[in-house]
Amino acid sequence: MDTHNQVAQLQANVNALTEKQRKFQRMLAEAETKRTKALSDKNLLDAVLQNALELKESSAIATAEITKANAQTQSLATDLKDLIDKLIYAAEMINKMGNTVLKLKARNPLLSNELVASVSSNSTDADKAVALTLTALDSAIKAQTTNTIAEPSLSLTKQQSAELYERLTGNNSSGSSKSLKAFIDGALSRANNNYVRLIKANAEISRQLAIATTALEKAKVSTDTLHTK
Amino acid sequence: MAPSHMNTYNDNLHAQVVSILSEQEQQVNEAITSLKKATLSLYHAQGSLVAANLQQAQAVKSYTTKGNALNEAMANSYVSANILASAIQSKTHVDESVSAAATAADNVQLAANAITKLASDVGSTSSIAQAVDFDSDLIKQAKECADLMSEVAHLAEAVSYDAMEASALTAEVPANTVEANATQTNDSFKTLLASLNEEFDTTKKLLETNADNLDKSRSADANEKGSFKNDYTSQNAAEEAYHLANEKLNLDLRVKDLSSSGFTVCFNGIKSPVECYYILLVKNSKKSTFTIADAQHLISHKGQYVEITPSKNDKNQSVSKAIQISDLRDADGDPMQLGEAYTVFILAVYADEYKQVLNSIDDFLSAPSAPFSLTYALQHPETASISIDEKTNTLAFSLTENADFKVSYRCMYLPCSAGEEDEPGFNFNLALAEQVQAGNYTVATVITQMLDNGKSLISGISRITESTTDNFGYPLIAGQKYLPVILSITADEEADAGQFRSSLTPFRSTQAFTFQPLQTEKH
Repeated sequence: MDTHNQVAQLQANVNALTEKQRKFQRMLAEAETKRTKALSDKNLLDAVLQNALELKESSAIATAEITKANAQTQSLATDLKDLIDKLIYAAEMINKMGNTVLKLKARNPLLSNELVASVSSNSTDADKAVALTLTALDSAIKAQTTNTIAEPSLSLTKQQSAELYERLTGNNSSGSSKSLKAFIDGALSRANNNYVRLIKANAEISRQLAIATTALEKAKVSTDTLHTK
Repeated sequence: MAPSHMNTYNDNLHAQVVSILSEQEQQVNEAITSLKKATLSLYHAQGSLVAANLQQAQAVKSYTTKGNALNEAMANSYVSANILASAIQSKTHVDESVSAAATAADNVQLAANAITKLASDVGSTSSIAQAVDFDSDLIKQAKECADLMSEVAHLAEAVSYDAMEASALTAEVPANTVEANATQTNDSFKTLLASLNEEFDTTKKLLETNADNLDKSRSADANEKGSFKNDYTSQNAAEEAYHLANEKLNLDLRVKDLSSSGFTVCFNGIKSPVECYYILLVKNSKKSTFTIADAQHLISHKGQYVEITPSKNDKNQSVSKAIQISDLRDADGDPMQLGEAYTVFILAVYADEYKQVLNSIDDFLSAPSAPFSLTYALQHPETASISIDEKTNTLAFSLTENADFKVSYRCMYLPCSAGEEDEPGFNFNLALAEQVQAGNYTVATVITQMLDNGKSLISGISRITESTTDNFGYPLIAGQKYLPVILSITADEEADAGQFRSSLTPFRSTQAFTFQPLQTEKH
């Protein structure tokens, strides 16, 4: 091959490879941007998953606790009802004794005034105790009502949170391949693979360009030598 | 008529024919050059179109994937927003419960205190009744009341404890934490969703840009196809014109069946009585200065002409003569060189009687033939020998070739068009393959095994790596079909490159393969 032609051919190779290198470096830069973005999405998703997991756990705990509190409040109302029944019976007995003492006093004024006063005070106090216990029963019923509303509300939160977490991670019936985690993990894996491939490609192209440049320089030198002869 | 007169007529005619043919040859060459340019432009336009199509296909895929991810994220974010609403609702209810339970506990405490006091007072009354000792029934009654109230007081104490317990349990329900977690989840979702939305928008814009590019590439391709067709027609017309002129004015002189060892010369005989035809070989660079005197001089040098005696009977005979490279030296006495451009001339020596009739001693010299050169045709691998190992993404092929030749095997991957199976979506041929830039092909590594007939068995391999592109320089795409083609081209730096004719594997009978990148190691 005539040496001028050969130099021109080798120069064309170097030019073509330089152009290819520029193109692949641009692609690498794009791949890096995409990878950074995919990584950032992955981090954002991890934050979502962490929060969703905490939500799933805290709502489960809250639901368990409201259930316990609810049971306790239910039994409180029952016990209070039992208490008030017994208290009313006792109050009636106290009042009955008060009446007995008053009748005895009417028949016999010598009956102890202290006993009359004590019995009368007992009746008044019994009325008060009954009234207070009725109020307590009323507020216990209110507490029972509010708890009865709060429990299913928390339970719904718990159920939705569990479903959200399962759906996010793909451990549900619609399958793991369609979960957001699968999408974002897939995007990151593709972006990583692409980035790694382009790193390798650029290394290869640099090597090819170095070889082509060396060949060109050698050919130039031998052309110059021919000319000086 | 004076002989000199006759000579002038013949000279004028000869000069005219030479000039016409030379002009038409020039036009053919210009048309070829123009067609080559148009072919290359069309190739580049088609390359842009192929790339635009592939990019659009990838953008559509990316758009679909990102769209699916965004849809899923949006569906999830609705759930997250619902959870937040129900967490806030739950917290309100729990707050009410906490307050109600605390009130209940307080009230139960008050009631229990009153009951305890009453029990104590009723106990006192019973003691007084006993001390007064007035009526045995009364003592009994007071005792019963005291016992009853003592029992009630015990019960009240227990209930009071239960109420405090209920209040404490309700207060412990972590509704605040649930609400905080739901808020965080929803907030972090919004950030993720914003990011996915932004990426989806970018993908959408890319899709639009690509669609624009695709439109532009399509119209550029259509334009180039138009000029290609024009140039193709012009070239055909120029060749036709040359052939016609050559046929009418220059004995239809043609050189064909070119090989590395020889060629065949064809021409139509002259009507006038010819004693002998001589085929003369002249370097193309010297054809314009080659005269009839040179021709007449040559035929006294053995080995520098090929002589043909016409048959006496057939006056319109057409002559076809196969010539071996060793049979004929050129007008300079040099042996024929591969890669050098030559023309042939026909010198017709008229029969003596005819010359006497015309009173002329002049013979007839044709105009030069179209230039030609002899070359070694390089071999290309048989398509059946081409294979792709999908485990290693390695292309392999084999062929036999003259053991002395230094040949480079350039492996190229032509993207198949989406519609047709195993067909590239663009024009491709040997000339275009030779124009494919370094970097857009890979040179195969070969193992040579000498055979005993002066040939060697060549096995070539070429690995498809991360930097491998298609023939247009676009990186190979996973899932895309490609046709592997191999260009055999001389790698002989010493010899004149014109000695060797490149060759290309017939890609239309080649099996396409679907590219899949090898799994990259984790970094």
